[in-house]
Amino acid sequence: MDYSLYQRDHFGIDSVADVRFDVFLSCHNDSERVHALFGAVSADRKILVLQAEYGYNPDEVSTDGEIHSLAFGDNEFGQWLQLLDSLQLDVANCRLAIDITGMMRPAVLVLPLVLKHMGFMSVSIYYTEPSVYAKGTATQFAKGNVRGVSTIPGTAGLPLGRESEGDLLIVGAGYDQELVSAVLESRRAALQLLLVGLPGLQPHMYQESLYQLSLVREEARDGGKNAVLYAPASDPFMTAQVISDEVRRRGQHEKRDLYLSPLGAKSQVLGFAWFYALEGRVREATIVFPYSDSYSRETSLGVGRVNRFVLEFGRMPEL
Amino acid sequence: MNINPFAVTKAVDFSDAEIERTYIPFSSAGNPGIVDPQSPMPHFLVGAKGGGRTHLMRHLATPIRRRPTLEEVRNAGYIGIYFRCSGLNGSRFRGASADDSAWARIFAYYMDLWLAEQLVASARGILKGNVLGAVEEGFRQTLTVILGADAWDANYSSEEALAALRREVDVAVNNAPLIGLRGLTIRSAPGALVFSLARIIVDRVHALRSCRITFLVDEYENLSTAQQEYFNTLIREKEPPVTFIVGGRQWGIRTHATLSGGEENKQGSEYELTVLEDKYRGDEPAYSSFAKAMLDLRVRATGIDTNDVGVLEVLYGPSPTASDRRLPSTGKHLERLRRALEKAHVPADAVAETAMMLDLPQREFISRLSLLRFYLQWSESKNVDVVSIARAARDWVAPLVAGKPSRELLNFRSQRRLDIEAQMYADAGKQLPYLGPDALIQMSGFLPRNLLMTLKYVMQWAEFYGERPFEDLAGVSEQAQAAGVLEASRWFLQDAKPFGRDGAECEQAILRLGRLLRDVRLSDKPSEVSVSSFSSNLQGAPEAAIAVLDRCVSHGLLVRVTSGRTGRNHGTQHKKYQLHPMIAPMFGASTGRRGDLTLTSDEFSRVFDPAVTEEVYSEMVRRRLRAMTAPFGIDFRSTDSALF
Repeated sequence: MDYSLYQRDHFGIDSVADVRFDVFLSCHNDSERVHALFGAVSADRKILVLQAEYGYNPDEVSTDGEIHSLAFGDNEFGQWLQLLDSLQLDVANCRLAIDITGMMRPAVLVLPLVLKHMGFMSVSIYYTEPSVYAKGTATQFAKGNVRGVSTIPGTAGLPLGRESEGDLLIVGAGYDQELVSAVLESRRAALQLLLVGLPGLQPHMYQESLYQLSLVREEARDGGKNAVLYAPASDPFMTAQVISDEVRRRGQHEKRDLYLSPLGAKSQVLGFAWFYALEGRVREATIVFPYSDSYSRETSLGVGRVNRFVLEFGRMPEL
Repeated sequence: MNINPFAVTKAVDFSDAEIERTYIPFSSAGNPGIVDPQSPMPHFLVGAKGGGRTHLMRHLATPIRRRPTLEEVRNAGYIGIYFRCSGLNGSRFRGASADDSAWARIFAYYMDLWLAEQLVASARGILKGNVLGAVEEGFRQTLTVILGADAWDANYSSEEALAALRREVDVAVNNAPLIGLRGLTIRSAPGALVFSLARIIVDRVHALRSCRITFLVDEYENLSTAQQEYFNTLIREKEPPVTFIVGGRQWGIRTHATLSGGEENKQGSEYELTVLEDKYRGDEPAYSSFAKAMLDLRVRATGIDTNDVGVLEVLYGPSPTASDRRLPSTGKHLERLRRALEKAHVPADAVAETAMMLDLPQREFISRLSLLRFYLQWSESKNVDVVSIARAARDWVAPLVAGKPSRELLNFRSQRRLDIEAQMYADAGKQLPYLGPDALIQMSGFLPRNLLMTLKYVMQWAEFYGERPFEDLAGVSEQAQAAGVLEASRWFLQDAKPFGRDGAECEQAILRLGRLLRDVRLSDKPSEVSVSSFSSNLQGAPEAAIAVLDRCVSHGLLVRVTSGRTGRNHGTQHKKYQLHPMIAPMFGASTGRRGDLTLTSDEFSRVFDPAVTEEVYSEMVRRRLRAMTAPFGIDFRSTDSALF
């Protein structure tokens, strides 16, 4: 699979309005970069989604767009389908753009599947980079307890039904090393690979990721140089490419269960989601995620580069 | 680059062959073994991380994985079928597309298919020719009876049929969020498949008629409470020849409840339960031999020949005795003495004379011993004649330098030695070393993996310092040992604690407890000897604090002490807990279990209640240490100073 063919571009926040959409959908949180893009984008309808996991209620938020509340919980598919149905979009002709910057990771992970299921042919996905994460390496994206590392419903794969020594787990390593540790711990028999953003969203972020990684390396099984994979943090298609190549390389001789757990930047998460949609689902891969009690509303500072990735669903297998 | 024989610390990292090569049986006097795979009684094998549970269970499954002959299976007396619950991917049996009871039924069906598939695959690994044919025929007949003839393709083998049915569930579960669970049929009654198919094997294979079929079910913590209830039901309603050995973390055994009319499985009736580290703890010499054999074997496997010397002795030399130690001298104990006497407004000339009396140049350890004697006498008598007390203390310890020490003096030195050494290292700003094989084994807290991790880190530091411990059998420097031990200690706290807020609360409590124990140990007059434990009656303590305590115990950060001094000192109402010995080095605490600090419920709460602020905790520590810190509240301005 050649993921380099997919279209991506980037621009400053001032140039965002150059492209016009019928519908722009964004998930609200306290990050400046989410607000900035929502204000700058040019669309006939702007929809702001409040996610229950952040604990917002509509009274807290002022916007000139429509507000919808979702509680993804463990029903990401159902919640997306319900929302998109309620918007009564003309799927065949609608120019839809979705900002994933403030979106819960599990919701990002099922998004391509949902959009395909709805019948969209192409959707623009936006992701705005931060200048820095608010507390550097100490930034915590999840709050409270890790309720458990669970499969995201609908992305469970089909286990081979034998012992799992040959299984492969690829974790998109984010700053929150405790979440990474939780995932590694949950699949401790698997061969564990950590995917790191290189280059990072900002130059210092690679260093910070490596520092965080050093705290969890003891958990990683492969131990040697192959335990770490690299893909540009801001490029989901290259992320998907790296995963695809690695899975093919390791799976040449033996069929094995494949587990994916993206915990890094949302652009990286989208890369995992895109790989899963195009190849992983057919390969019977499973996405696992460390669900937490709640999530931080604000984890970053500043507004960096705005990225746009165009998901084209033509080559995506039917669900 | 040095070879690190301790690089692999988890059984999951081993191949089947390596499992066997590195397996060391734990044999304890009068004990037939940790678990009997032939026993009809199901057995839970639980404990903290790193007890060797997976290694043992995989070892028990080894005969079947080697494709043994029938004769070999008959001699073993059981067919051991190992699997990990993580492979079931149990977390997918949830979601809005069905209610909880529907998911529970689907999971039960899936578990039955899973077990049956493992069983059939195992039978095909053992049996051959006509015997296999007869058993396969029995399997197919049974599947037809239980599932119905229309449930599977007649051209399929029993294994293929079960795999196809399991896949049917996999697909339905995966598509449930998009299209619901419609079309999925549950085709068998709970338990029917696995028990019936197992019966076929022993009925149709004469050589196996007395064999047990033992499912070795690892990583039980990966099942939810509802899923464990179903498995507990299988345990309760098991039929011969099937039995179960279930392995998991202690905190991961969520319930013993069943779906059999709400009955709960009872230990001793429906199952046995062994906490692995308790088993080791019950026979410390056997654990020590077991640990040393484990390490020796790993070193030899790398081709290093230790010439019949134990590997720990090569690395560390023999366990040091008191006379071997080169302790760091600083004289700071006398500086503190002077300050304390001045604070008590002792006249300057008496301060100088007292300090001089207790100063034994080149003999700082004995000097500190005499100072401790002085503090004990002074705080008790509150006598203003400090010079006389100092003289008596010095004379009391003098036989240690020349002469014949009394039994009382030798006991005093023996009791206080480790605390004084800890103080000397702390005053020198050095990490207290945990030297010698016995200390390292004790530090592992009866979890073999902890010992491996410690040695792994020590070897890494030895390499960092340019040492080649095995090359000329030169051993590892004290510097590398100290660094490795400290790193292992930090690793353990992070590795053992729960994730998320629960873990942060446990970590806060452990750090507070550790600091308190350290401050007591380093005080002028420690109230306890080698304190590493605390006890409290816990009455009236907030629920939140008790919950943190329980989590610390279930995750192995604290060790609940169930016998020994607790009862004699405090009665049965007091509960006693030891800081896990792996954590002790972070605080220069003892890895052994000697003195315990009695905490009131209020003091306990200030350590364990996550809502208590650092300031409130510190105030308690200050108050608690007052009686252990010279001048012990004595002020000579308020006493009779006529003697001066």
